[in-house]
Amino acid sequence: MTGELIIQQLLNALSLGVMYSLMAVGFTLFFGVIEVINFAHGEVFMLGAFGALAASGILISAGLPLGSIGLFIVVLLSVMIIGGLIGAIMERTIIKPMRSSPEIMTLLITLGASIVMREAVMLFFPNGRNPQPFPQIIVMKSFFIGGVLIKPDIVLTVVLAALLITGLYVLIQKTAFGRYIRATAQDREAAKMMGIRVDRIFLITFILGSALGAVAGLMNGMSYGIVKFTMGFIVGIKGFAAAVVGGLGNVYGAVAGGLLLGFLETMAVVFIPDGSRFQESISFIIVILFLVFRPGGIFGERTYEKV
Amino acid sequence: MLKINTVSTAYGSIPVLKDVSIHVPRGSITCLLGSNGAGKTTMIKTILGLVPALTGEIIFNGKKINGLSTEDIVKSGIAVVPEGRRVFPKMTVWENLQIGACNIKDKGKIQNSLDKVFTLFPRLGERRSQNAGTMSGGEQQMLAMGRALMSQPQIMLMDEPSLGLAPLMVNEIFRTIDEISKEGTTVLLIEQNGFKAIQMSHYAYLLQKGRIILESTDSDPASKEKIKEVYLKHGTGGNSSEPNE
Ligand SMILES: Nc1ncnc2c1ncn2[C@@H]1O[C@H](COP(=O)(O)OP(=O)(O)OP(=O)(O)O)[C@@H](O)[C@H]1O
Ligand SMILES: [Mg+2]
Repeated sequence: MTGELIIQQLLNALSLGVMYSLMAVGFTLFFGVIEVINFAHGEVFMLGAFGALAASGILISAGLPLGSIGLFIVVLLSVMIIGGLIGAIMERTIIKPMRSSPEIMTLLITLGASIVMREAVMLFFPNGRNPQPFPQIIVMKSFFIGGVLIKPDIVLTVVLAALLITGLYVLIQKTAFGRYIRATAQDREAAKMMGIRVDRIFLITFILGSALGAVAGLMNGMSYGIVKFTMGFIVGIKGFAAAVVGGLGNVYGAVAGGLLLGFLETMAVVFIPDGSRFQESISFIIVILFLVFRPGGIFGERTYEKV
Repeated sequence: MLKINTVSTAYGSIPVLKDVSIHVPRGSITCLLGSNGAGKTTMIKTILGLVPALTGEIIFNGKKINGLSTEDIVKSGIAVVPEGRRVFPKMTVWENLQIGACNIKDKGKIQNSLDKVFTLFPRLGERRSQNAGTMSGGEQQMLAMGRALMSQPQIMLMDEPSLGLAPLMVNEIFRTIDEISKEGTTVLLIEQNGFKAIQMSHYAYLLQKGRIILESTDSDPASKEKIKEVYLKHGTGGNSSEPNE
């Protein structure tokens, strides 16, 4: 294989990886701060993609030129708002009321919500039953670096994800609000005794994680040019897998876990003959290996580190 | 300042506090003594609204606070040094102290409190970037007290601040409580082995199996002595038979 191909595959791996990372961050935030596992998170990803589709349709008919940077930015903001709204609604309607119930109830109810969201898109989105072409929201020129053709969409995806993850890092580590999130994750009752509005922290955590998941959906639409109502399920499980690999509750582990899964999946396709057949199972093999040999995740803390 | 009137609580169907009345006058150090499982921590949680009061009421500065959310109760000027310190282990000393000031918006005010806390506990200033979880028990106790002070409370509830500390450190903690009180903060001090606590307090209550069995009164200065006696006689004032009154 030529060096050029390797670089291209690495870029592919990176763009797939950051998408998983964004998903995994949501899972790990929900678990670390609120102690819930949200099985509907994959559908937030799917709704992010469909939200982008709808938003771009509306914006284009409102006169924004297709392929412009302006359109991209407005669609991105809309997707984050849509994701955040869905997150807020979920937290208030199914997560908060279940807070004092056994964990298994939350599992069940989020699973139920995921089915409702999937079916709703299938039934009520125009032509939702069929795969939908995703418009090319932004058009940029391909360019060469050292003789290697670089697809700009991939670069955009990676840069955007890097910005979002850096933003999240700054928020959690450097701001007062981030301290409240960490305090709540480390000792919920003590946080309350200090006067932190824990209820509000839960809500905002859910909004944050869901907005990031929705952006991952937008990225998926942009990279593959097609969206389908079933797309959330497998990515949801992979995002969860990445979060487990990173050590559930550890935000930076989730990022690393997502990158690792993206990388291994891409390499499997490239190096194993007929490897694309295994692409979907790779993640789960990795998870099983981690659970057996390194249950604390990549950074290997015995107990679940929380945020 | 803080009045607890015939408050009862239960965990599920198991009653814990039974018609407890305590009065903490402004500027005082009032101590609440009792043995393991008497209900002292439950009393604190009830004041903070973490455990609901089933009967009676809790009045702070003339306003009824039972029924309010914990956040609002804390915001009204009550700070707590929880049992077992409960500092946030993976946050630095500085970050822990900032959490204590979460209800204060004014940056200058926060800086003032921070300076005060570092004057009171120079050790915390030296270790401001250390993770709280890696500090010694005594240092964590100082941090828990400093964190409570950061909210500039009118009253501080302290749940067994001397628990598990070496005698020297215990002296240090009690000396600081005295200092905090002299600077105008009212203190409700909870202790189990409370000989020292009685000595430094203005008022004392003895809690046994969820009931106040003895309290000192203004009109009878000897009553504090009596609690001390009962306390000494019965060791930790615990599950022994109730004293004749
Ligand atoms: N969350 C809870 N659920 C059920 N029972 C509880 C709970 N917390 C405390 N109790 C019970 O309530 C009683 C009083 O407990 P509490 O913690 O208030 O005692 P305490 O006086 O603070 O004791 P210690 O000196 O050991 O801290 C005990 O019998 C305890 O077992
Ligand atoms: Mg206690």
